[in-house]
Order: sequence, then structure tokens, then C-alpha cells
Amino acid sequence: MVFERTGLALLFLMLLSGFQKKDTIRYLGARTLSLPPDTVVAYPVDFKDTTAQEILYQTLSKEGWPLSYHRSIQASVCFDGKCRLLDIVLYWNTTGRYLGFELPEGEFLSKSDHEPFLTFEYAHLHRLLADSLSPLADYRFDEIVPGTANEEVDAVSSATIKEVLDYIVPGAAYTTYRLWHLVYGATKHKITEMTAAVLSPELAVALLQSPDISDQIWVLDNFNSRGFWSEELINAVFRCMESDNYNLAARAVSVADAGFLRSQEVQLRWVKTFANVEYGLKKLMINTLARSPGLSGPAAIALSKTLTSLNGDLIGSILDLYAGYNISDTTVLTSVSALLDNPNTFIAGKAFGFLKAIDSPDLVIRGKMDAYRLNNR
Amino acid sequence: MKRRSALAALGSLSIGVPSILKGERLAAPYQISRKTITTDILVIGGGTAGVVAAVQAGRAGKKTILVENGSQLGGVTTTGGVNFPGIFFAWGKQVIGGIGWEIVQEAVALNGDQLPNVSIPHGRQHWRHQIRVNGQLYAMLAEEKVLSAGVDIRFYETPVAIRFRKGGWEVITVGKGTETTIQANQVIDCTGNAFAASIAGFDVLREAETQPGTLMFKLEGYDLTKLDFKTIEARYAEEVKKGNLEKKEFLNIAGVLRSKGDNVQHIAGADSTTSETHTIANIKGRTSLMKMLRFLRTLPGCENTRLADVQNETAVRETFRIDGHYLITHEDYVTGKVFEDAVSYSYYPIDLHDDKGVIPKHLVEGVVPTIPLRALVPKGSKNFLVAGRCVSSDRLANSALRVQASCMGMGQAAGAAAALASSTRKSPLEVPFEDLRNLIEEHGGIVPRIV
Repeated sequence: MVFERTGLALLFLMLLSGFQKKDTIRYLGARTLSLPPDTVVAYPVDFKDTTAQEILYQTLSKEGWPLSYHRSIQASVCFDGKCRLLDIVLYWNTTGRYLGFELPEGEFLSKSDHEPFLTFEYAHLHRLLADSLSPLADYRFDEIVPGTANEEVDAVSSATIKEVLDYIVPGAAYTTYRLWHLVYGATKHKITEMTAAVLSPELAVALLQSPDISDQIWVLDNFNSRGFWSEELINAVFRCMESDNYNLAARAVSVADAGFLRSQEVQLRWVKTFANVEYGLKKLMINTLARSPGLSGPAAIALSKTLTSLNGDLIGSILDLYAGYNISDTTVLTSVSALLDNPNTFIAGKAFGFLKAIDSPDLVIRGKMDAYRLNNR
Repeated sequence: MKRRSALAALGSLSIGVPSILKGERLAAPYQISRKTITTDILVIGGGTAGVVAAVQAGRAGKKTILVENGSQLGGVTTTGGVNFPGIFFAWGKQVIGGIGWEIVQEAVALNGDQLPNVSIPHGRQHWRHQIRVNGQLYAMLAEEKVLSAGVDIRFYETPVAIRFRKGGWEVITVGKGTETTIQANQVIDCTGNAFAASIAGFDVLREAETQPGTLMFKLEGYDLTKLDFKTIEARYAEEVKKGNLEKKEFLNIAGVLRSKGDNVQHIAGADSTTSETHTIANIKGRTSLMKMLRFLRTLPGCENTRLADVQNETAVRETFRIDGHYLITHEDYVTGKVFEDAVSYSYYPIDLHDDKGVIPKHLVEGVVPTIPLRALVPKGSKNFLVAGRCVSSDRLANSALRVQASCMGMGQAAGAAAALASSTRKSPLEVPFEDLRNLIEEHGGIVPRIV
């Protein structure tokens, strides 16, 4: 794939409203970023997917943020020996998510019997193209419609296999299949690369406010802090961690690196969040804390206050964390020593093993350890 | 000189005096090690459910022994090669969590993999919410978890006698050079085949025809985009017609090539219950694969097809189920009935494989089936639980319940119920349900609630 941005007549200013004509057939979802479009930049990209024009248009805001991408597709669709041009513009979001399609003025989509699409069929096509998990991903076209050696055929004379009947517009199997693969093919990957290359903390914060969870997940998957975390971005990541969507919360935890956890304030907030997140995230959060540059005293103490509410496995992870950072604060050790009385021998044993390695001079702690030894002879 | 020594040694043998070469020493004949050990909880079977049950029991502070007849933990997920132990999320929410999820989550992270985005509904492609794990890594992680929970693992052992005595169980296991009597207050059968329940004398159920098994393998050495599928399909049909290949073993030759061998074979009647039945299943699986491999290498474009990997065992889908205090029906499953004693969710389409393949029947949006504790307890039993695919259920419900995530949920519930029962010297069904709920939830498990 060739990607180049040349200055030769490729950059032109264009108002988006001028590009989208009112009397065209158009199905477009809302963009994540509702900022006004400012410029459209054209990138020649060799997608190798047999369309006539291989130019990817990027619509930018005044800030230079990519608001959407679009591409004009031209391909032939044949039936009964007669072919007609599939002429359509596909739109993607900043994050590569499918946004919609638009037909040039006077153009329409047609089915196998050359009948134009009806309104509900356009809406159906729009819904099908929005399904990123469509089974169309797993098939070659001649598997979907057996007997279609020539792939540019929208045939109903051969029955479409039942596994995909719900994923195509009836009578337009090829059109649906072709468009779906264009939406989720090389163009989407290119868009992902292009936005990721300009994903600044400010843009990341803006995208993390998207109501679409997949946009937020995309940001967390693609953001590279390079060691810099703004306060706004840290707040946005914490909001994601507190989400009841597991994928989003887990990725938010994973994105936090040593830079994120550098300050005492953030570490304290981390511990507070840890106490409230669902169980499946707790171990991840402790493991992530182990990657921070150090564990502040207040964070270590705050964490020790959670010990009595945790199970033996999480307690073990926290004790490992303390051991890794050589934490020997008396307040922390006192909290740990309280676990020696736990009726669960697994928990008490973990606490004893940790305290034994620390060998604290504190007489109360030593007394508790002696009592534990006596009871567990 | 060496030859002369060897001849001298042979001469010595002939008159009954053992010859000893340099560096060797004479040892007494090997003795079978016989011993008696005691524990609070004995988990039989270290597969998907057994690992979780043992970890839960150990973390609850109970002395726990885990007996496994193979060489590693994880069962179908590891030895069987079905390394996609889903599904843990339903309709955008996590429904199975806890210890099983913890191992999956760590296996994903340690392998540098990423969880699928389960926020997007899977539609009819439930496998898109499956989570692939590195099977061998999963086995080692499971072992690490079990050991760190203080559980005593006994590999290569299998029970041969299980008797209820003096308010507890006496289980005799045999292994390589071992015969062990294990006295346990509670027993959890996680063999997948209700094998321990059967030995203990509890009734088990089985259909005349069971789902086929699958030997998992991986193919490489061909370029899918360059294959002429029409010719390949015609050649396959020809070989099937001649009787050289069995259509019911590989229903779709294009599927074999496209999936590169992943979960594409069907071995009729595969049964892992006993050494004899499991031997047959393994041999059938390998014989079938060898025939297919040889055939593939005759196809244009597939001449260099190679086996990149093959599992050691044919994975098994269905054998015996217990006759429990409650039998989960297909109707219960597809309507998402929430039982008062529900201890775990289950989430999977009705997925009955037969000689025509499988067409999963998906659950209606919002439905998440549940598993009652009573389905884990054999009728007439005391201090005895099962977890995993031998859960008391009808065949259709079982075709969904058998999948690993559900087995993990059951394993955790069984481990918790056994731990509480052991602490209070009761039978699992006598344990106060709120105590059970609290213990499972404390360890991250998700217990359904009646709304």
C-alpha cells in the first residue's frame, strides 16, 4: 500500500456542506467529533481493491483533527450478462468506524432484477454495513452464492446460503458483500493508522467523550502517551476505569503506564478506584500498580485499609506489591498483622509469610506473630 | 576389551548373579507406595471445572487435594486443545467471572493477547466473543494458581474405589507406583464423565447416541487464496464415494482448509470415561486425521500441507451426566430460568453436534440461563458434588452447559459449597445459601439474583 501526501493539487479547501448535496440518497450516522469541518485533504492510496478511484478524503476540523474519512467507490455489478456501475461514497468515523454511505446525484442501487433499491432496503443495507461482526467476513463470495465463479455477479438464480441470508439485502448479495468488505478492509486499517499518527492527548480526551464505546476502546488501544499525561486525559482514563463496560474499564487500566502513576495524587485515586471497581479488574489494577515507578507511602497505607475486605488471592498480590517496593511502614504492617487472626488459614498464612520476611521490630506485631506460631504448630 | 566385559557380564547373568557396570548400583525391586492421607476436600479431575473448584476450596482455607489422571491441568482447554473457553459475557455484561476468569485474563495478558470487544453484540457469531488462550500457558498458570492456593496436586492418579464411611469419603486412587487412600470430608467429581459419582454408586445418565468428539490439529503449508475449491470439493466427494474418507468425520473439506484444522473433525462416540473408551477415541481421531492429511497432500496447491500441531487426546463433548436433585431442562435453559439456588450463570447457544454438523440455536436477546446448586448434587448423596459437563441436565441443555466458562462457574460454586459444608460438617445442600453466595462473590464469582 502506498501512502503519500503530496502538495500537488491534493490539498484543497472544501466545505463539507458543499460536498453533500441535498437530493442524493444518503445514510450517515453521527460523527464522534461534532466540530465544524474546515478542510478536506485528499490522499492517493493504493488499496488494491479494484475500484477506479483510489483516493481517501480526510475531513479535518480547524484544529487539524480528523473528523471523518470518505472514499468514492466505483465497481461493476452484473446480472444476466448486463453490468451496471456501483457508484457510491463510503464514510468512516475518526476511529475507522463505519459512518454511512451516499450516492452521487441521480445514482441508485439496484438488485438482481435491475429493480432499484427501495427506501427500507437502503436502511437495511446501512444497518448491515454497521455490523462489524457480520459473518460476511468469513466467506468468499462464491461460497455465499454457490456457482458464481465471476465475483462481480449479483445473482439470485443461485440461492444464497442460509447462514448469511440475514446479513445481505435480498437480491443484492454481491452489492452487500462487496460494500461490507470495502468498509472493513484496507481503508479502515489505513484510517486507523492515519488517526493514530495524530492522536494527541487533546484529541484523545475529545474522543474518550464519545457515546460510542468502541470509539473509546479504540483510543485506549491506540494511544501512546510517550510519557506525557495531561490532567484532563488522566481524568478521562479514570472515568473509563469506572465504566460498567468491562472491555473499556480493563483497557483503561492497561493503558496506565509508569508516567500515569507517577504522582502521589494519582496513586491515591487509583487505590480509591480499586476499592470500588468490579472484581475482575482488581487484580489488573494491582498488577498495573506494580509497574509504577514506586509506591507512595499514603497509597500503600490506603491500600492496606482495603485488606480486610479482600480475598486471599488479592491480599497475596498486594503483599507481593509491598514486598516489591520494600514497604515496611508500621501502619501497613499493623494492618497486615490483623490478618493473622483470620479464620481462613490461607489468608493468615499469606500474612505470616510476608511479616516473617519483613522481620518488623514492632513489639505488637511480633507478639501477634508469636501467637500465630503457637496456634499453628 | 569392552566386548570381553560384556561377555563376562552375560556369563554372570546366566548363573543368576546380577552384573553391575561401573556407575550402577543394585536396587531392591520397586515397591508400590501405599499410604493413607486425609484432607478436607478432594477434587477428582483437574480439568476446566476441577482447577477452579480446587483453587476456590484452597483459597477458602480448606485442605484440598486435586487428583488428575493426566500430566497437566486444564482438561479440554489444554490437553483437548479447545483453547477458547468462552463465553463470559452476555448482552454487554460479564456473567461468569471469578477464578476461571482470573486465569483466562492472566493467560491473555501473559501471552500479549487482547480480549475481544464484547461490547458489540455477537449476533449469530457467538465465537466472536470467544477468548483464545495459549493452551500450554493456561495449563501452567492453572497449576501455579492451584499450588499457590495450597492445593496438593496428584498427577497420574485415578480413583478405583469410593466409599462413604464415618461421615466422610474414603477414596482409593492408583497411579504410577502408587496406591493411595484419601480420606476426605467432601468430594467434588470434576471428571466430566461423572466417573467418581458412578464409582461411588450414584446413578448416571447417558444417551444412546452422544455428540462426536474432536481431535484438534493445525495445518499449514498451503495458500488458501490460490486453491481451486471446486476441484478440491469434487475430489473429496470422489474419495468419500469410494469409501476412502468418511464424510461424517470431515463434513466440509473447504472448512478443513479454511480453518486450518481448527475444530473441524467429528469422531463418533468419542468417550473419555475409561482408559479403554478413551484409547479408542484417541486412535480413531488420529487415524481419521492421518487419512485426511494424506488426502490433502494429493490436492493441487496442497502438496506441501503439514501438520503444525496435533493434540495428544481427542477432546470429548458428551458422556455421562449425574441424576441430580434437579435436572436442568432445555426449557429452563432457553428461557433463562433463574433458580432460587442458582449459583452461576451459563451462556452459550444450544450446540448439539451430530453427524450432520452443528447449527447453534442462539438464545433470545437478554436471556442468560442459570445453574442451581441442586443440579450439582447427585440424588441420595452426602458430602458429594459434581462440577462441569456431567451436571444434571437434559441433553439439549447439556449441549450448552458443557462449554468451559459455564464449567468454571460450576467449579467455583462447587468448591465454595464444599468448603462451607466441610467447615460446618454438613452436606452441600444444607449450607445456608446466603453464606454460599457471599463466599463465591468474595472470590469474584457472579451469583444470579432473582429480580
